[in-house]
Amino acid sequence: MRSDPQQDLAYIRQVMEQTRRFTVISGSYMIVWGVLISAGLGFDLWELHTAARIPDGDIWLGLIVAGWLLTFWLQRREARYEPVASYASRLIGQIWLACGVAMTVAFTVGAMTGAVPGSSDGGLMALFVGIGVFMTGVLTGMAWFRNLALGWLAASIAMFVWHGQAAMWISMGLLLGCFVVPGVILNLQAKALRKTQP
Amino acid sequence: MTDFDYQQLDDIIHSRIRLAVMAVLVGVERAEFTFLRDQVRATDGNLGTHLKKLEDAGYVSTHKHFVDRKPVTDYALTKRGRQAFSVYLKRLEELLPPRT
Repeated sequence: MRSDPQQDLAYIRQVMEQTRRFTVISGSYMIVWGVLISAGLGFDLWELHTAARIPDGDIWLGLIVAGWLLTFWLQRREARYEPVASYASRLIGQIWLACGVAMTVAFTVGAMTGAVPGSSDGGLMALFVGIGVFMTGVLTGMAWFRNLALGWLAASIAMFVWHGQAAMWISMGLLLGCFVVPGVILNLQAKALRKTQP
Repeated sequence: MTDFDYQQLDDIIHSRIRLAVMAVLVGVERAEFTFLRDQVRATDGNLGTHLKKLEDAGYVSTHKHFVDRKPVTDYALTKRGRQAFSVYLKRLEELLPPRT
């Protein structure tokens, strides 16, 4: 082998750096949750504009349960296909799990007990998602993704100010534009990375 | 180029491919054989031989499973392997000439 410890250390650093860059982030969870919650908001908006009176609590419960079931299914499925399990990926997964559990508690128990008023749903959701997006961007070194958090934060402020129907429209737009679309981009990037890994 | 005393370094790790494997595994929880092969740029047979040495020394552990009916082997660094790598790095750093 080489006889220079400096070269050895440089080589180790290079290999470790290469490996660290291989943090595959799945966008599938973002697509699933973004579509499901947008569907719920779409239903609520449709209900507001029509005479339809369907208990939306049941719809939301169904959507949240479906979201978690799909999340667990995706987690099992994707773990089997990942060629490498990195610490950063695990940490990101834990952050999103924490955000998801916090939102589920706030928007189910909090809403049922009246402790979390419906008018603050949009603003709170944007705050939680903003935290997850920011941490994911920082841990993966994706500046564009981290900067999306600014959009979520600004939207959160807007939704606390203009709650009601306006907040629902903002939430829907954000979920589709700043959650589902980035999720699709992440999946495309992961696919390309798997193909081009050295 | 500075020659240094090889006796101070762990022979198991002190090979280009085994060192690369250890450097890859120290940064992840587990990695598939194919991922390691691509990262360290080795042939299947060559890498297999080096991984066997690391496994025999108790530095890496393996987990075999099937994905779409294809056998897949995952490798992970053991506690012993992590300690050995840490000692190896320390020794290497000690061998660096002092900064002026």
